This record gives sequence, C-alpha cells and structure tokens, in this order.
Amino acid sequence: MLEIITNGVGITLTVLYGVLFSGEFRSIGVARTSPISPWTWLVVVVHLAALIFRGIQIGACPVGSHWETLSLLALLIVTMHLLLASVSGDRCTLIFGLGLTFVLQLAGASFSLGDQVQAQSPIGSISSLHAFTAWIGVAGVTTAGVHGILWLLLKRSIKTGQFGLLFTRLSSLESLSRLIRMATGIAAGSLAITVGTSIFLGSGVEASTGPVTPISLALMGLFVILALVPRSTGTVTEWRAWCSVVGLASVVFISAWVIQFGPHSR
Amino acid sequence: MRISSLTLSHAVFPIETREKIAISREQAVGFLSNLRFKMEIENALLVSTCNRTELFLATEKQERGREILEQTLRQWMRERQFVIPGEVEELILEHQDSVTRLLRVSSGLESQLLGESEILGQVRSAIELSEEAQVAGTVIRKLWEKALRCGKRVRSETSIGDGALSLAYGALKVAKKIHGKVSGLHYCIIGAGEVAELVLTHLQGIEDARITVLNRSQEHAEKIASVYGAAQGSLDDLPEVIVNTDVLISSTASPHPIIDADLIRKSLVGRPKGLLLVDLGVPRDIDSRVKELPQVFLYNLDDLARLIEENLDSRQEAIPGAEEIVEHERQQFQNWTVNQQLDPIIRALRKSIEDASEQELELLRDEVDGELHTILTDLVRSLLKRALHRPLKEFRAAGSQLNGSFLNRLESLFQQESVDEEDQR
Repeated sequence: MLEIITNGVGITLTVLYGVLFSGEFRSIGVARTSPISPWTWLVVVVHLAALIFRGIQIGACPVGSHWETLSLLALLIVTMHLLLASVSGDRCTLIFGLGLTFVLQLAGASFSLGDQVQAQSPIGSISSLHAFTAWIGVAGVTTAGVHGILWLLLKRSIKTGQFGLLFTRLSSLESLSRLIRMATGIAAGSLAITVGTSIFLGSGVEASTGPVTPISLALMGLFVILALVPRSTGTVTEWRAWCSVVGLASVVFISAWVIQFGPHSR
Repeated sequence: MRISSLTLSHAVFPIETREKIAISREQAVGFLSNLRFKMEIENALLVSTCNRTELFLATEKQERGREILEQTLRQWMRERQFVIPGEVEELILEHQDSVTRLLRVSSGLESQLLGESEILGQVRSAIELSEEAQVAGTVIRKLWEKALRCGKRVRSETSIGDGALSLAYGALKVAKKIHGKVSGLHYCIIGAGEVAELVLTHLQGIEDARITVLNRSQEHAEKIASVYGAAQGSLDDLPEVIVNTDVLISSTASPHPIIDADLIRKSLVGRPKGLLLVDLGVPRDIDSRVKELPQVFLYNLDDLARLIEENLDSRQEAIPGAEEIVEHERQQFQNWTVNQQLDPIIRALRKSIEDASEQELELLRDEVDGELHTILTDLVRSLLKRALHRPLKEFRAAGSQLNGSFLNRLESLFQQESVDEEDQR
C-alpha cells in the first residue's frame, strides 16, 4: 500500500514538473525577471515532504535506491535553480533546471521502488549527512555545469552574431557568470562537507564503488579552486565555465555509475 | 526634364563592397563638379551614406541621363575595383522609378533598418554638395524638397518611426547581453559626425553612463561633448581611454581602419568584462581581425541590422500607409514637372490671344471715344480671362497625360505665332 502511495506521489511529481517546464517554456522571453510562481514553490515543498516522509520511513537519507537517489537529485537541482533565480532576480535559466528535474524524475520513475524497499537498511546520521551533502554537491556541480554551458553558448552567440533562441532567452554573460560562481561555491562547500564526513566515518575510500570517490575528490578540489578564484577577468570566467562543464560531465559519469552499481552508502 | 538614378545600396552590396563604393564629402563635390563641367549637368544629387550611394540626375532626355549613369558606374567599378551581381542597366532607374526611389529613401522605406530617421538628415545635407558643385538646379532641388517633405510626412503620419529601432538601440541591446546592464558603463564614441551625435542622443537617458568622445579634430569633439555632457579627447588618447571602456562605438569617415588588433589586444590585459566594439563607419574603422580576440565582440552595420530586424513587425504594418504618402508626393512632383513644361505654353497662348485682342482694340481707338474704348478694353480683357480660365485649368489637369513631344510642338507653335504676329506688325 505504502509503495503504491509513494509511487503515486512520484508519478504526480513527474507530471507536475512537466507542467512547470512547459509553463516556463511558454513564457520564454516574457517572464525573465518576473517572480517565481507560488505553484512552483508548492511543487518543490510537496517533493521535499515526500522525500522527508520517505527518509523517516527508512530511517536514513533517502538515497538507498535509484528512484530515491534520482528524485533527491531532482529536488536538489530544482531547489538550487530556484534559489539562484531568487537571489539574482534572473530566472532565465530556470527552464533548464526544471527540464533537468523533469528528466531525472522521469528516469527515477522508471525504476521500481517496491523491489528495492526490501533492500533498505537504516544508516547513521553522519552517513546520512555525508550522502545528503554529496548529492547537494552533485546538484551544485550540475547546476554550475548547466550555467557554464549556457554561458559558453551565449558567448558564442554574441560573438558570431547569431540571434536565436538562446540570445533572446538568456539574460547576459555577466548574470550567468555570477550564477556559475554561486553554484560552484555551493558545490565546493557541500563537497567539502562530504569529504569531511567521510574522513570522520573513516570509510571514504574503502566503502566506495569504483572511481566514484576519486572523481568526487577531484571535483571537490576543482570546485574549491573555482569558488575561491574571484571573477577578476573574462578569461577567468571562461575557465570557470569550461571547468563547470567538465564537472557536469563527471556528474553524468558518476550518475551512470550509481545507476549501474548503486551508491556506496547503500 | 527627366530624372534618372543609379542605386548602389545595402540591398545588393555587402559592407565589404559598400566601403569601396562610399564617397567622402570632398570626393562627392569633386565628382559633381566634374559632372557639371564635363557632362554639362546642372541638376544632380548624390546621396552617399554608409548604406547607399545613390546618384540622381535631371536631364532633358532620359537617354542622356542613362548614358551618364552607365559611364559613371563603369568608371567606379574600374577605379574602386568592385563588381556588381547583375547587369549595369539593372542598377539604373528611369524617371518615375527614380522619383519614387528618392521619396522612398528619405521615408526610410529603403533603409536597412526600416523607418530609421538618420537617412532624412543625410538626404537633407546632400543638397549642400550639389550647391557647392553648382548642380543644384531647379528640378533636382524641387525633387529634394519633395523628398524631405515626404520623409517628414511618413514619419509624422505613420508609425514607421515608432519604437526604439536604431543602430544605437541595437548596440545597447548587445551591450546588455554582455554586461547585464547599460547603466554605469563607460562608453567611448569615436567621431563627432551626425551618426556619433545620434548615438550620443540615445545614450543620454542612461543612468550613470560615463561617455567619452574622441575625434581627430579636438575642436569638434569639444563641441559635441559639451552638448551631451561627455568627456572629450583626441584620437591619440584612444589607447588610454579604451582600457576602461566597456562599449566603443566608432563612426568616422576615415578611409582606413583606425583601430587595429594590437591596440585592442593590449587593452584586454586584466579586463574583467568583455569589450563591445561597434563599427558604424563605412569604410570600416575597426580591423575585422579584432573579432578573433577573446572577450571582444565586434559588430558592424550589417550585424546590427540583422539584430534589429526582429523588432520590425510594428513598422512593417506602417508600410502601406507610408507608400500611399510616397505615391501622393510622387504625383505632386509629377504635376510640378508637367506644369514646368506647360507654363511656357500657357504663357505663349495667353500672350498670343491678348496680343490679337489688343491689336483689334487699337484699331477701334479712332472710331470710338476714349471712355467707350476703356469700357471695351475692360470688357475684352474680362471676357478673355473668363473664356480662358476653364480650358487652361483643364489643360493643366490633363497635362500629365499629354505626350512630351506634343507639348514641345504646342509650345513652339504658340511662340511661333507670337513671333509671326510681331513680324506682321
């Protein structure tokens, strides 16, 4: 019964994110600076409530299954995009966050929750913090990567005089540059906590599966540097954008690995 | 008189060719003077802007005008080393089309940015070149006046000039895409001509904008900078000024690029943001290799026009109304040219009838007393006036439909009659 309810919530959330994405798509070029709709926040709150409920149910951060992991990542990505949009007053990239969230929810929904519920075992609070911050880091790197790609594309569009959808839709190189910096800062901070907790747990490298941990460590190192380097010159911003894209590629690799072999916190 | 025109514009030629075709003010006066002395042309108008070089001539015979324009084009192609995509004849327009062409040009209907207002000022100043070269004859001046009137009417009576649609607007749109805002930026304007002034007008409303005007002649820079509250300097200050510049807009008449890649490369050291370079000059003021540098965004006239085209919808709707005004003004000019031809005929006709009646009245002078003769004289004059009024009015109205050679024949006939009558006397 519980699985049916959870699956129902998961499917409903997927549909709602789809609706939000299409709504954002329809308002292209109109609502770039308008406030974020309360309905968007409501969907995020419902999503958060569902994952908290799931966490309470299993007694740990809900990252023990593919469905939970992808759904948590989706929530973190959309929250990060919403926070960035709220802080900067520029929601031009929200559509990409919502699109990514929708895809992750859809991918999560394709896994059967019921099969894996039996495999769950409660984990400690430090391990939960470790897992949670790791996924915040992943969401931060993803968000920075998305913004990095958009910065590079907008730059190319302005440089070559191609006035297509991206030129119309995206606000400015300056604004995107600020958003990349914020996202890299969040990613660096959360990845640092992740590494710190794994040292505290003393099981960082030993319990890892394959290359996930070394890549995560490398990402943390890279993003700490990116977060600390000031936005001093245009070249620095370009490097930051490219490194964010590399980070995103690493996240895609880690996600693929986790989907295939499962997270090491499992 | 018949109008002929040669049209070399952005519609056919890209900026690389247009900068070869562009004629400076000094060259224009020399060229028009040559037309006067070598070709005996007294009516010529040359409109040479960054987007077009258009030459209008008024000649007695259409063939003569066409012949001169063909020769001119071939000479330019040789001297300036450019080729045209089709035949020479395709770029030369005859009377009606030439008149319509100038009216459309001044109305902004033929502009790269539909309805832009700069062209009206450029047409307005074109007559100064003709005056200087002494080719501002009655016909071309009348056509020029009509063009100005038409341009003003189109802008005031239609919405073709509505909305922020100008090169400066396009430049600011790109600046906003790069810097996220247009306020608080440092703008450097190179040149102190009409285009520079228009750009400065657009920059006036921007909050906290720091503007510096640089010009070869510092006197001009001072003059324009004082009007718009900008800082000023000479072109020698450019390396220093460009270091802190966010947006550089150049519109000089220099025949060669004044900003090269080296200068820009040096200014990029330690630059936190991108540098937008807008080249409104034809020939271009900025070396196109600058585009290859990182952080540099180089835009020329064609790039900005493509950007602004997207905002043309509201202006497109105004085209039919603008074309009605153009047609009305063209018809008025046509009537004027016909009247120019009819006036001597009407004068000759009136004179021949008046002379005949005066002769008859003179014969009566000895047969009637003075008072009666005066009454008869007044009566005859009044009758003539009333009798001729309607036919002459109809004649004027139908004038545009009458054949040119028929009018010539009519004119010579009445003039001949007058001469014959004087001979008989």
